[in-house]
Amino acid sequence: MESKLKRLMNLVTALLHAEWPRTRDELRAGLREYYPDDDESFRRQFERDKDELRSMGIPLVTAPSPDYDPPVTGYRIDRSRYRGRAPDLTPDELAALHLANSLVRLGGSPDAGPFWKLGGRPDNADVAAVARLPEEPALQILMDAVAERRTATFTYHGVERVVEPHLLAFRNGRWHIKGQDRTRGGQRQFRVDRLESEVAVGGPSDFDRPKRVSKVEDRPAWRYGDDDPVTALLLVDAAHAPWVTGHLGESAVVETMTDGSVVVAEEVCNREAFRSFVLTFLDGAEILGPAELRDDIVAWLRKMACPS
Amino acid sequence: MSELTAVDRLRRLLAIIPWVAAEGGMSLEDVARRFDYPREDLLEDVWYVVQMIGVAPFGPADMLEARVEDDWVHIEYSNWFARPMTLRPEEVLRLLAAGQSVAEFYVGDDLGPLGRALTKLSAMVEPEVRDAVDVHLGVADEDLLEALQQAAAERRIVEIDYYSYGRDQLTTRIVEPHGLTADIGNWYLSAHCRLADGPRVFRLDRISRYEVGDETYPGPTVPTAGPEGFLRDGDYPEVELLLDANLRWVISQYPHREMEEQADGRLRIRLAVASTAWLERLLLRLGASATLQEAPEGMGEELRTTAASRVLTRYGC
Repeated sequence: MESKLKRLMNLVTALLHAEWPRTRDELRAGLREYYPDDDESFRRQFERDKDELRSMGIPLVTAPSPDYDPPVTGYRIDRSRYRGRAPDLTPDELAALHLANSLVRLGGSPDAGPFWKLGGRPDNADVAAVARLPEEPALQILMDAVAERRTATFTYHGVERVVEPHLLAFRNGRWHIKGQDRTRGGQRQFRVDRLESEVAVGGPSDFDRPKRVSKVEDRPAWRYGDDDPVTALLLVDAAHAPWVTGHLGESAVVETMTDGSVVVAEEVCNREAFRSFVLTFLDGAEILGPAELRDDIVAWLRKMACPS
Repeated sequence: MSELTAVDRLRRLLAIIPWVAAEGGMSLEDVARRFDYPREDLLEDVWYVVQMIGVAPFGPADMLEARVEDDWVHIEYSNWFARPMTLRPEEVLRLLAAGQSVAEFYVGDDLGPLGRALTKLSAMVEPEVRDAVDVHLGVADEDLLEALQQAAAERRIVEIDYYSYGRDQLTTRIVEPHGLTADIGNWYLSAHCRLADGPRVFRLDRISRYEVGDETYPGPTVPTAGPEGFLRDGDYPEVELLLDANLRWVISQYPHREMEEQADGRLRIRLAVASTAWLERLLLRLGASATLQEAPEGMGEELRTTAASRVLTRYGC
């Protein structure tokens, strides 16, 4: 462990020190005591070290070394990107930011890493999280892609797509990614929890961000689908009326009864999803029409009410 | 033995060296606390690692100088690390998202130091990036959220009409509000409920009426838990279901304890049951093709049959 730490620290130092790209063998010559003597073991170890530094976000650049002809690959750390700008926060600003980062959990435990770079964690008392957003393994890489204008490649609905991500939005408990779909064309939005593969990203500054990106819409599941659209009328008991009105919006309510129950009208393009929604009310709601939806839910329930 | 990996230590050292050097030294306590560096590891790394950092040919002028004297850490000649590593755009975005979330539930217009910090952070990235992440924590009536936050701060009781999803029941109750939490898309109130005479958690979108009272209450003696961890720690009965893979979308919305894909593609899944009404809903949504493999008394097939029949009566069947 100690020797690995020394090796990595000295490798970073050598790469920061380099005025021009240094070849693997030049770097090895300076770090001989930390690397194995065997060529093949050295090469493997060096590759792993490079990956480790890159995964920490160290801007390791690869370019031909000017000392060789024919060219040999060289490495260095881009100092201007490594040192970059600092936000120069006052202690109270840093403390407020740290508190915000502890109150809001973007999945998992809060990462102190950014605060070390900003001069160390301020002396806040430990606080319990007030807001927790779901853990999504792809979130970090998508944030990277959005921030650095890298394309994101992933499988969605069985199709591999290359997307220029413009916006990451958290709505109704889920992360959504919105952007230009190069594969299918057009602006599309995707649910991050429904990505069917890992996300691979392209190089930085690969696209122009549009001046305006429309907000992510979070429409209920039954409005997405390939079924022939029908307008369903749903009677919802008084106990659920405030919730359903809040959830679907006032505009969905077509009638309010004297007992407080309401009738809502919803366009349905996915009947399965709508039936599933209606059943969450148990016997507190009833599909009034059209008859085909009413018949469908009755048939569905009969199979369970009278098994065999 | 330290629990930190070599990379954990590398990240800390890269952060510490510029700050300690710039401030002309820093107390051991301070470094340990600010950089989450266990004292023993820190001492070891300053003496045995930082001292050994440099560039070939590693003469005295090519090395960092580091020492600890009277619990004070000194690091010198660190020109390679003259300034700390900058925040990555992804880190900036993450902090902006956290700040934006706090702004959403913060009562009042002026965000003060947080607002200034967010402005400075935004300036580090391309101007459009600050709009590239958009967080909306959950559907909540802003007036209700604000009224409850204020009531909790002033320790005032609140009367609420609350629909209990688990029991499928509407009740009026008086609660002593303790705190609010946004958890995966919903807002929750943790409170002492006088009706139940115990701590309870209420979902804000199921409060249909509220009235803040004049009566105040003494502070809670035991801190109340937020919704986090509910169902995971509790001692709930379990059911085991077998269902077709195309029903995965229904199940993805429910916290489950175990899921296993069988050779025939069907899913075997174990769930903790919060209440019978909760299980009724799940079973009716899954439909007849889902089979119950294992269920405690009163939560098996008969529960599903009865629930389906009850809903059917609404349709005149």
